[in-house]
Amino acid sequence: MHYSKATVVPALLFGLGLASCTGSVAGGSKRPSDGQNNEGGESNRGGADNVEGPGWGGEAGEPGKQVAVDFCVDHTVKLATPHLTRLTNTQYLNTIRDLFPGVTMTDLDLPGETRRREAFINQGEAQNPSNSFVRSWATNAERVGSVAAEKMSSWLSCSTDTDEAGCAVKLIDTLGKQAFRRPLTTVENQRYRGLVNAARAAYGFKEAVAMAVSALLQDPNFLYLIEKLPTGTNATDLSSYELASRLSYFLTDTMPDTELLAVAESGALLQTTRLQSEAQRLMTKPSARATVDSFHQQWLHLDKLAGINKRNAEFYPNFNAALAASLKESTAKFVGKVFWDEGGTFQQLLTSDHAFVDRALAPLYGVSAPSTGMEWTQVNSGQRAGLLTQPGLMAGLSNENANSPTNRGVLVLEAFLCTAIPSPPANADTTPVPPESGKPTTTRARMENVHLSKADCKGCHELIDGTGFAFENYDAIGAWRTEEMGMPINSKANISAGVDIDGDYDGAVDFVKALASSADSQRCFATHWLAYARGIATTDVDACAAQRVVRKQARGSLAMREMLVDIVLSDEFRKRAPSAI
Amino acid sequence: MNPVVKSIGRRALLQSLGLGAAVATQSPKVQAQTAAPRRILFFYTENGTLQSLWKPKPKPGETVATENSFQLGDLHRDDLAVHQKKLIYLENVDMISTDLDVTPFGGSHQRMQVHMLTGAPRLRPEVAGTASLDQMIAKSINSPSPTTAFPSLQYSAVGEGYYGEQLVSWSGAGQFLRPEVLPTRAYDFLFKNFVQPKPGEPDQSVAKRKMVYDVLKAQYGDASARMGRNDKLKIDAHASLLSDLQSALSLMPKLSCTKPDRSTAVATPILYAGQGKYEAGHFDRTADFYKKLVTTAFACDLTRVATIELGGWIPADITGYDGDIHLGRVHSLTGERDEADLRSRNGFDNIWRYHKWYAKQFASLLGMLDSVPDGLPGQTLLDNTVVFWFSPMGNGGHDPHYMPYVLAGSGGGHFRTGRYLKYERRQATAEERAIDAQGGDKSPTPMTRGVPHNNLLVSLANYMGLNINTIGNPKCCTGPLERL
Repeated sequence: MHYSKATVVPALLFGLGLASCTGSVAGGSKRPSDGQNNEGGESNRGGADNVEGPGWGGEAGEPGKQVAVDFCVDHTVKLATPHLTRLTNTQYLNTIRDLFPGVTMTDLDLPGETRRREAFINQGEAQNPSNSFVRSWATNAERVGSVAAEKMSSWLSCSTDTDEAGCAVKLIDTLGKQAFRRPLTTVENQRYRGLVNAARAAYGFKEAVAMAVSALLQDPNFLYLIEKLPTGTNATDLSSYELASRLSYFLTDTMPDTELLAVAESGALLQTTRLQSEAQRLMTKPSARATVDSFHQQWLHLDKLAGINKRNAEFYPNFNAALAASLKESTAKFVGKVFWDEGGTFQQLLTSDHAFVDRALAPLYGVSAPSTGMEWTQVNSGQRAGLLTQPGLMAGLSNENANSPTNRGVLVLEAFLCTAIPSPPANADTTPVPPESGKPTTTRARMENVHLSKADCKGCHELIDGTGFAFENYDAIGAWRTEEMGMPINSKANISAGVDIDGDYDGAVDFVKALASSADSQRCFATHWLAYARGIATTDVDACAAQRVVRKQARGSLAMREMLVDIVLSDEFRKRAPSAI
Repeated sequence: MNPVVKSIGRRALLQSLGLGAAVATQSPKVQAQTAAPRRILFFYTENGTLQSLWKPKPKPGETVATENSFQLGDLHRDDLAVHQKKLIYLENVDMISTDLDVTPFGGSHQRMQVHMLTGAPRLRPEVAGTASLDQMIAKSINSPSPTTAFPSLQYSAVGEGYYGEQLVSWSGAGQFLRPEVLPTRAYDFLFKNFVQPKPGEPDQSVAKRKMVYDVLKAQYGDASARMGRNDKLKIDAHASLLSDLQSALSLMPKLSCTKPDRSTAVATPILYAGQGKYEAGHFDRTADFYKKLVTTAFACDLTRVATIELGGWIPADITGYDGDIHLGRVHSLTGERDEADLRSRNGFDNIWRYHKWYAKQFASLLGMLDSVPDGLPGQTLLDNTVVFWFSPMGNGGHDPHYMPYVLAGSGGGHFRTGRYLKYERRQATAEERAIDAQGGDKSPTPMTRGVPHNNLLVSLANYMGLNINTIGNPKCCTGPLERL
């Protein structure tokens, strides 16, 4: 048994208010018992070999098992306060692509999106309109309008030679419905027809089309996912069109396709079986792969991999641009492979003994290189287990001169255990202490020296680095090592985050296996997907909702694709709460 | 006219700025009748200066530097002497407002960045409590209806990350205005709606946009009516931005400028130390492009308010120091030191090159502005602009006192240039010293204080037509800066 059952929870929650580390460290998602029933160390938290126990609920009475305390006593659906969400840049571009098939749009420019640490890019609450967005949308709308008007025959089937007026009506009815993801109201229809007719009279039909397109693409019903406000104080079901939009943007990052829009029109989408089959159908589309990729990019901050472009040549003489490219590619491919083509379980994601290996990566794994390209290869299971031991991820969480236990610890704690980590104090010198040639030392020793010797730093870094040290066997390019500058590697780690896998571990493989079967970790994974599905912060996800989604799965094996469908079928996805204010 | 710029060919420079046609088509008569608008440009560099080398010196053969008789300090002389007649050096201006701000310090750079153009207590450690001066000016010029297509422009040459977000411009309390960090994007933002008017052909774009806008206005109105309070704010804000854009775009085509060449725009942002790779010259090209954009925008009256920020991390091809110069050199070398001591220090060459680069950038900016004819015959854009060069700290020790402020351009004769204004220092009050002393990573609080920088902000506001007598914290503002 690795797992200490010491009373870590109170120690963690109350012991961190140290000096400059004043941010609170606590579970990222809302725990129903917080503040009410803090059982601390007396709770049933414990072994990861007991995943069916705490956190799973309703499984009491099995012989030889502890009686489980239901993590969620109260299973009332608690919806997060809704915030109007708008299309992300990706969704915006995909939707324009799909509105005008056969028309190639280039040169569309969008401002960068900002993202809060505890949320995804689609978080409605953070999407405030800005001058640069409004200007970009205006420019893009005009560009798309003029290009689309030139090539109208490829996306609107009607003959302008014989019936301009009829085409104008069709334009508004068809394109308008696609752009708004619902039929236009009578008032809207009249308004848009008025525009087209006046523009046609003044500037000719082609120009009228361009102007109508320009208006549609700046319309609030295009840019925002507008949902009807419940009139009372209770949550209400979404309309079938609203549900179709949520579904389509969640799973495919674009507007509902023709089939989904038809199912929405018939009202059948409101039936659970039909909603389920539509979700399953959408997940077979190529765009679903892109969406899953985008989730993982954001969840794991894989955009940081873009920064792997420089390594200290003294310590990493074999690093070059080709290796950097392979590191990035193989990690992205790994996620896609496990999610779609392998069993698709969370456990495989974390413990798979396979990886994509090419000539550049083979030495990092100590395996022989494939003759060409990148191949799905079995690797040393004593050294590697799944996503967190991927060289790409390990390198991405490193610095130019050395690996970073801090970066690695933060990722594990935030992304896998939903433990909020406060930012360092503003005056903290966060420049890593680099290794110096001629002064043999390990990264771990340098970190302990800097972080754990000062009370100001120790409060948080004991937890952060203590977690990150599990990955000391991977250097700053993700290669396996047993010594650093001639000194032996110590990858013993201690997790004390107030989670069910708190305890001591010997290295990454040992740790990620526990992580894979941890109920807290699976719930955290579901929390991130729910946040992504709903455009809310992970901290606004109801932990019970996450648990309900996880519990639908076969025990000990969280099938990710099925979990996405379960999210779609959940009340959190199908209902809308009234606005709090 | 600056003789140096003349010699490299004024026409070539104007062409590169996209202003050749504008100048060529302007007859002297028309030009003479045009009253030039007033502009203000905020030029930001990081990490203070080398005080002893920054201060103006006595002319050779003289013993004191006076208001009207002085030569530039060593750090600026090579690059800026040609502009001396159009400069004003301000010595002993202090950011007293930081001494009176009880809000916790937060980041030592950020704290001063926030104070720089607000002079007011912060809302939170790194959040401004009021709008900044540049935005107050931009708002007043464009109220009640827009006068320029862009109320203001903010460009930062070091982008995205710790040093990329100089917290200088605030549209209101807590409303940070993030600067653009990418030259290509800056260009597109400025010129994407720019329609080159064709002679003899009426421009229809205004009328067309108006028709589209009328539909959108009604659509946003309907959407707003259906929203809960939170979402309604968002939709209304969007509608209001659309309305502003509509007004601004209608101002565009009246201009007779030509777009500058986009091809020299750098397409990758500069990232903080170690996060990106830079070819030699990347920084110069980025800074140059921003200077061109602002010069063009002023000349074409696309805006009258702009900020160019050159952040703190400058790479080895400029400084000769391969690493984070901020941590490696700035702190250890730019405190209060006498000149001989400073010059003898290890690493002096790096920090000299660092600050000299800023001076060169400033000089080349003035050169550009001074090459563009503007307003009355013989005047240039520089003559009808005030460029305020500041750093948010006095020295590399995070000291918000002894600010190294320089003004350039007389603003159409509003300020008398070619001067060195040295203000008196007084004893610091206990309150001023107590708050300032709390900063953990700054140089010790000085025993004396100069004049408050809020007064300078008032003078600049007055110049731009804001009829105010105080700004920011009234406890450290006594009106316009005397003698300026």
